[in-house]
Amino acid sequence: MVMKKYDKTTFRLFKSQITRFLTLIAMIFISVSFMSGIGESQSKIQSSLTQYYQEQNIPDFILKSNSGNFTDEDIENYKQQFGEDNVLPLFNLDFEIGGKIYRIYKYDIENSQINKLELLDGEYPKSANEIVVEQKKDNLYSYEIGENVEVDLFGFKQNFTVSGIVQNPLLINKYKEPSTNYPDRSIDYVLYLSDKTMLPLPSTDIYIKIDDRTLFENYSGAYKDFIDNQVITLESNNVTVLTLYQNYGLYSLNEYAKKVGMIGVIFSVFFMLVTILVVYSSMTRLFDEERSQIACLKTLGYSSLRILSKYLLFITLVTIIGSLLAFGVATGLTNILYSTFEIQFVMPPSIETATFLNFVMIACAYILVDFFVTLFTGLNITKNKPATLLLPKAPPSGRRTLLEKIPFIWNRLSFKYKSSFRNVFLFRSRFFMTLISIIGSTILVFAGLGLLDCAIAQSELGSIEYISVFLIVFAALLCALVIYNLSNINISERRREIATLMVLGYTNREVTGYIFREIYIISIIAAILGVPLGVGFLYFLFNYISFGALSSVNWWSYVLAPIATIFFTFLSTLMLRRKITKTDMNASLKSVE
Amino acid sequence: MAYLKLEHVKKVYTSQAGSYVALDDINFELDKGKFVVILGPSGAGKTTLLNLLGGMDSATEGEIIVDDSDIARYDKKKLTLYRRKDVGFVFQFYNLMPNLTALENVELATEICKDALDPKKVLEDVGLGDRLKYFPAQLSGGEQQRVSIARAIAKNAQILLCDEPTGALDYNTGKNVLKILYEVSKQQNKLVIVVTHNQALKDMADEVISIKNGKIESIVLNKNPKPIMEIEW
Repeated sequence: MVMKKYDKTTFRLFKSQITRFLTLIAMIFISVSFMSGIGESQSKIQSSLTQYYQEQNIPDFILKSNSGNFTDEDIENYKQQFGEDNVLPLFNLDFEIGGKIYRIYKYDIENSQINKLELLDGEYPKSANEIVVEQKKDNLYSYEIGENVEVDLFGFKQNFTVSGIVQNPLLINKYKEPSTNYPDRSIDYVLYLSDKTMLPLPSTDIYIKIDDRTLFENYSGAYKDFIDNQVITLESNNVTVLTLYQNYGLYSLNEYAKKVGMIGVIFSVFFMLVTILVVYSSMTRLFDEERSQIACLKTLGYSSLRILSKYLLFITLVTIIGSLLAFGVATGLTNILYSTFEIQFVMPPSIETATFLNFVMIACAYILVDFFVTLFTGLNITKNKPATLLLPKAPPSGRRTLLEKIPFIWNRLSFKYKSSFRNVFLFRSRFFMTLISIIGSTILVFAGLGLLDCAIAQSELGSIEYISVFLIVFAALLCALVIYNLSNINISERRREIATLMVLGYTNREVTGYIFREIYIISIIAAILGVPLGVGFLYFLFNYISFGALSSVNWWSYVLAPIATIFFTFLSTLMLRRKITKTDMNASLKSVE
Repeated sequence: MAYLKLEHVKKVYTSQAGSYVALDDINFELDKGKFVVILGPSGAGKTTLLNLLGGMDSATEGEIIVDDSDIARYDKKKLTLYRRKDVGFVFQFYNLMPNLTALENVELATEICKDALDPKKVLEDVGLGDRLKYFPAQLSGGEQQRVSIARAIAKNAQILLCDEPTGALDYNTGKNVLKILYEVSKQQNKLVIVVTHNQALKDMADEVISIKNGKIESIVLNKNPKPIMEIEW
């Protein structure tokens, strides 16, 4: 029976702390969504890239003959060295025809097992005068199927008909594909001649793939070492070696994915810090409120762990529910971010067998951290003797603030401001906790805005633009929740003061003003401090991801971030007004709990 | 006409569990300059009555006439103004703001009143002239209660409502506090109402209203109240 009654107190805890329960869930939800959403995008892009590399057998080396022609003997040597199936000799050259750069390939495009093209439309050439062309991209022209193309190569003129449209895995960047032999120019057309074509074209290039297809693993360190070693042996007077590190599309996709990941990591650390700080202060203050109940249970002989179990259940449920809700949003966010990369890249088909490793790891990290934060704050309370706990927590002695030493200002303040100023500094740890949380979320909003400015300035990086937008949304939500949660706690802690003021005949406006003034003071300080600290944060971020500059940040971002913080404070206080005005005045008659 | 008059006052609390009659058919009249004790065991309806007199709650039926106005008909806004202007409240647990000094705690009340008395002077009157700049935590229980009384007096309200004002104080300090309240009623011509369960207090009051089970059990007028220092409990 005792157990049953105890469970009842657990149930009542959830009921009485429903607002705290929900706001904490919302905070966990936002942090986990953002963290795992971004983290997973990097993994998804890189895994898809690796899969693409394996499926299409993207070559690891492109050898270019400086004399313009590899001999049969050369080719035979490479085949001996790398294996018959790992070597593909082909013709590949950029030509300027009528002011446009044409890249022309010729090899067995239909059957080649190295650098498999994707046939998007039509069919591979059936006859000697048919060709396929690369699909149209932002900076690349193309032809319709059935269109005639006249090609003039080394004086050989020939008319071709376009039979199909393809995508070359080596040409995935939509904005730019630098020409190999026309420096500083991007290619305009890509044509693929089949080996049925009669034109006698030499083997200018050799594609080589290495046997071990698992080594690549999104440009892993082991792959780089292996490749670097091979390049040294392959390179000679006659041979230039290109690797996947020189492939504009694949390499830049991998780099952007890494950048996204880095942005994710840096912001995630911040999100996590703010969230944990808020969990910590929420739980500390919850324990203060439940002090007499804890004392009562202790006198009855309940063990500390048994007493704390319901608070641990509380926070664990908060974290689990928040995380589970986050799962859907995180997946959605990952998919959206993945598709934003399609602005700039022909994205490899996304892998279906996502591991959700990021999500599971982040959710577990939150569960563990929240659990231990609660456990330690709780043990701090339960370690006290029941006799100590039964006494109400000694009210902090009023303290004079620095401002009082300036009578010129202090004497002009009405007592309301005096009280607010004293309160802000009286509960120093609470003040700093609140201040840091709000500064943290202001920094996040500011950084999001700053990043967006740079992204817009460098229009190439569409995906970072999207990330910034998501970042701003998530940071703003977090900021609003932090302020709402802390204000809410503030009100429940001060019910007695509120009731007393009401009995003294204070109007609703005066009472809410009295309570909220403090929150405004802290928010304004936080908003003001958040900007310079945000500048420092952005400086660090820009250096870290080698993208963006403080000079590209628009002036309004400096203004918007603090305004947003103050606006969220205003919104929170607006929502919490009712909670104050409906306070039961009888709370003033009861003893201090 | 009496300054405060209750006629057929009834208070019913209704909840999902049903309705509960907290006060029924309460009638009495009180004048300024009187020291009145409302006596009753816990659960008798004392707090409810205090809430009604203090404008913290509205009666279900009946009239509560204060200075010719029926506050039972007041809406929330008017009740707030009533609490601001017409009643001073002394709490059992003082309810001082921990972060305001003694003087500032009194100013807390006077800043919103028009005809307030000088907070400093009032604190001197209750014997706290040398404690003006002390914070509550630096004051003893009796001193804190005196600040609370000063806060109620300084508003210059005509009614002082005191909820178990000695409940949290030791014997001698309690007596001192009662003495101050008694003197306020006589010297400043206020109506001081003390709500308590302490039987001993009835000897010192001009008028004792005993309530039990939500009804008035008796109203006793004391022609010759005992001086406070002579009563014992």
